Amino acid sequence: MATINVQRPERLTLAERLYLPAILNGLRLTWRHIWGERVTLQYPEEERQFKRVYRGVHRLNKDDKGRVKCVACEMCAASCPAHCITIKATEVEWPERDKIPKIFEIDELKCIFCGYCVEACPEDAIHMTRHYHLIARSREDMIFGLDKLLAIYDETKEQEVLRGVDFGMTHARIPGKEAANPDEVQKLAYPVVGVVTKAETQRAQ
Amino acid sequence: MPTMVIDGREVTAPPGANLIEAAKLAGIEIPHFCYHPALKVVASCRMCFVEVTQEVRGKPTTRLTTACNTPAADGMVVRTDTQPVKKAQNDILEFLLINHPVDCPVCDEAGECKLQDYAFAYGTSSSRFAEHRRFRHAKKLGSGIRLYTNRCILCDRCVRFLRDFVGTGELSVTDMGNGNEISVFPGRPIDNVLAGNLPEICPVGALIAEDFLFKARVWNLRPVDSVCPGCSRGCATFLDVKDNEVQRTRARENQAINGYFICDDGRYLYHVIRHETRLEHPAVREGDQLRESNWDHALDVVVSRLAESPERVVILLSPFLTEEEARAGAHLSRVLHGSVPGHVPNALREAPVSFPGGFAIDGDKAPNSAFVQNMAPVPLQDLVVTKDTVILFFNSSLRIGSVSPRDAEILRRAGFVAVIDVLWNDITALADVVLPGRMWAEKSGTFSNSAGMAQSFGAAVLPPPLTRDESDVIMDLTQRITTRISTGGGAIP
Amino acid sequence: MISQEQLIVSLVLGLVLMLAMTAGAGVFTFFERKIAGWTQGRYGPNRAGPKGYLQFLADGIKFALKEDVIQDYVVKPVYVIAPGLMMIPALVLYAALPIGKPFVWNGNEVHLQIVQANVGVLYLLAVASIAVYGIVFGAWASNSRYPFFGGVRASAQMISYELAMGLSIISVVLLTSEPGINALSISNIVAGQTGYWFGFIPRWNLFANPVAFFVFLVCMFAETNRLPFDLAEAEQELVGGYHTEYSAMKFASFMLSEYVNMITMSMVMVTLFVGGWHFPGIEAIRSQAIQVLLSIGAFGIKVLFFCFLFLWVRWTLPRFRYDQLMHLGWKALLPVALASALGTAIAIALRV
Repeated sequence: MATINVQRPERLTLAERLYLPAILNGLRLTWRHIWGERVTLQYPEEERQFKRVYRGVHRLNKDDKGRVKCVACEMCAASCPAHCITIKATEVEWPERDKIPKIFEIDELKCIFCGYCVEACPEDAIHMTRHYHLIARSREDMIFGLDKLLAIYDETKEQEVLRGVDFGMTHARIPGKEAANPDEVQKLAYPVVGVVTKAETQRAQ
Repeated sequence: MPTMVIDGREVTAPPGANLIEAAKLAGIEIPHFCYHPALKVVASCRMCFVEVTQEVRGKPTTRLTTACNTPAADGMVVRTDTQPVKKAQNDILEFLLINHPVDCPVCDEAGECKLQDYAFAYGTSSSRFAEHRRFRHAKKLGSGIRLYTNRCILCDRCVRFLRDFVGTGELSVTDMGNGNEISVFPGRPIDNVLAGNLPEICPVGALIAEDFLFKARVWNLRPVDSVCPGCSRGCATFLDVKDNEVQRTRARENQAINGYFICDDGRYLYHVIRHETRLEHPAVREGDQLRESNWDHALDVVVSRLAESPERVVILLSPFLTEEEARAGAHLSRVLHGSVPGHVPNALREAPVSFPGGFAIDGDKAPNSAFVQNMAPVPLQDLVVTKDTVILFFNSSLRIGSVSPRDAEILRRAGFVAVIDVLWNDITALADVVLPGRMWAEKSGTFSNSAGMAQSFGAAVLPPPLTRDESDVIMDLTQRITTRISTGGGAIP
Repeated sequence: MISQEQLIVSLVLGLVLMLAMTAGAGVFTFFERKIAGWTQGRYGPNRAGPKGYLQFLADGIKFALKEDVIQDYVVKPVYVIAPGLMMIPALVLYAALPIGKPFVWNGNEVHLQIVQANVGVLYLLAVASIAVYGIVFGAWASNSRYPFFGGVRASAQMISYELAMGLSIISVVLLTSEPGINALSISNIVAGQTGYWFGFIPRWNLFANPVAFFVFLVCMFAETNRLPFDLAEAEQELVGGYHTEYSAMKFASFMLSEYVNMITMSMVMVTLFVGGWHFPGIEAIRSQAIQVLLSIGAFGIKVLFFCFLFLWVRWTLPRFRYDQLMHLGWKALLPVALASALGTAIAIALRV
């Protein structure tokens, strides 16, 4: 059998056994803290500023005509590890697309805010905002439907938020607006999730 | 019986088989779009290229050929994985995808799309096509079929199916070159009872059933093996289930009965499961009206009438019952000494239809007529029904009008009619006690078709909460009746 | 026979101190939470009233309005009196402590002391020992496991540390004792601490015997069940210790008596070791009234310092393990206190 040498702790010195130096040291530390900086925020009045990649409440984006951008492809639901997204599609007679969600529900209580839905979305239709006030009086109220998610978009339109990559799928069927060329796809793409430059971080702060 | 070697495996194929079928026997998949075993071979998609080494004029020759129109021959050496084959597959896919919109997120075929699967397995993600794609709007072709021309790869399957298999030939390939597309003639929409198979045989999402349009993504569906209750043919089907609802019916391959297809009547029959006239609670007649009741009360009423004088009881079975239920129902007449079993023949009959491709639709629009007649041979019209007669009728008919007006008139004559049914119909209207049963998609059982072939099926969805399985009801009735006998209650001696 | 003036002062003092102690305990809880916040980089309670100063009132109202649950399984009479029993020693202990310089009123010497007992030290020791009964009664009457554990721990702890505490007080008594002086009288102990060594170091017992001071300091924490010696509560191990089964005002009186205890123990500490009302330079003041007022002020400031020390230590040190507690009490403090008492005795014997 192999021998394992274990480093035994040394016997405590007299000073250590007296506890006193350590206690005085601790008292000095807490004394400094008493007069030191406060790290908590006065929440309702003050709010913490988050970085661009913060994953808060979802929003459903609108296109330039103010209509829901989502095409109900259920990619977000398929990628969702918490199975919190429910989508029922319906048909519309729009020239550029014919499928939109009739029901789009995110159970914000089940959601683990991983951001996979944002990454999975081929339409850049779902984003995660920096909103983190999630308040409701019942579980049902925490299931956000189309109306709520679109309202969040109106509220946070100006916010630069976590977003996925737009491959321009909705426009694939419109003549003259395709993005078949891989270079073009690259151009269309927004900065990929998680990559934030130092300058951006500073700006966010 | 030609014997050959495919990818190093020795295969003996049946005579006349092509290389795709032969490879399938060896467990090797050769990708293909236009080939369908039930259709004529055209070799138009060029996806099924394989490398064949064969003796030609005494010399072994290796060439690239389409597997679908190459009959298996003795001594062939076939390779499906060489560099030229892979190059060919890759190039074909790149070619097929130049005009394909890749709108998989909104395409209902995504998940069971051959183009998608093959693009993953054999294609590359890049395309050299820099020009504008051809663009066509979707069009409605009739019979609930929609054509998304953009997605079409012109494999020709649909055209051949309608022309050769169905024999109606509404679809054709029109225009030339880049304008090539599938279309119907003006004023002649698709109009045949097999049109629902078109989305199934379409290898991509070009032909889409409006019935299933945007209903669900296919990877969320759970297919359940089922049997079509639409007629005595008994086609094998899949019921695709999501959220405890049947989302669509698909044909299940059964060469002995339906081949690869089913008719539209059976395909859309699943809507009856969630129909608004669905019977969802027991009801007992009070005066002129049927009042909502509970099972215990309703069964007590039935049993008390049955036990009054068993010799006046008639137990009727309908051809919509499964074998198990029919058997149990017939047994019930033996528990009630003196009662008479009988059956109510299905009144819905049409002329049988058959198609050039070999598919046939039976005229008898009930799934289990032959077996039920065997179990209870006497038809209702041959039974004596007076106003003292107590009738227990296991109807469970999926179709309105399955009981002929003459039979209904006989039932109306009876003193007491208890009916187990699944829909509110003309029979429940005349009944004194109505008990809600379950449909084929909600229970497991067996149907015997007109040719005497028995097929079992499983439950696909959960039934409405207050309904009960017909066999369960029979069992409960049996128990209540025997309890009455053994405790000396009632009029049974 | 006490003079009429002394009687008036004693009565007024008793009333004022009683009210001040209970109110002060309430305010104390507020500062406890405030300092807890500060040491952890937080703000502490700052919502109730201006800057949160009414927090203690809010707490009090909350306690008063809560449902007073009395479980079926408790031993009811004992359960009910336990919180009161806890409160009593805390509220009577300071009766023997002088809070200011004695003065002359109508020719009678008046002590700022509720009771001028000539065995004040014994009174202190006796009353302090009663304090444990509140805990033990409450714990036992709760008829529940965790409170019981808490009670057992508390009694063992109190007994262990009372020993060392008593020995450190003996040092004080020895230091005070001189021929013709009753060293057990607390006003004499304070009077003994007036005066200076070398003209500027006050003759506080703290300087005369720092070892005894230190032993008393540690025992003070143990006697009040404060961190690092709050093993009787130890919420991580015992849920809430002896007061697990208590709610509403009963719980509040347990809590309040803990804070009153802290103030009282600070007062004892100041009286015995830090010169009581004495402060350097008190003799230079001519006016008797100012002298008395300043002496009361000096006493109060010293007490406040020790109250603060209680909080400061609580939010600095983690809790002792039970074996460490016993080790410290019996193997460290007791010998040290004995040695200090012996040393003091020898020193005094040699000097005399």
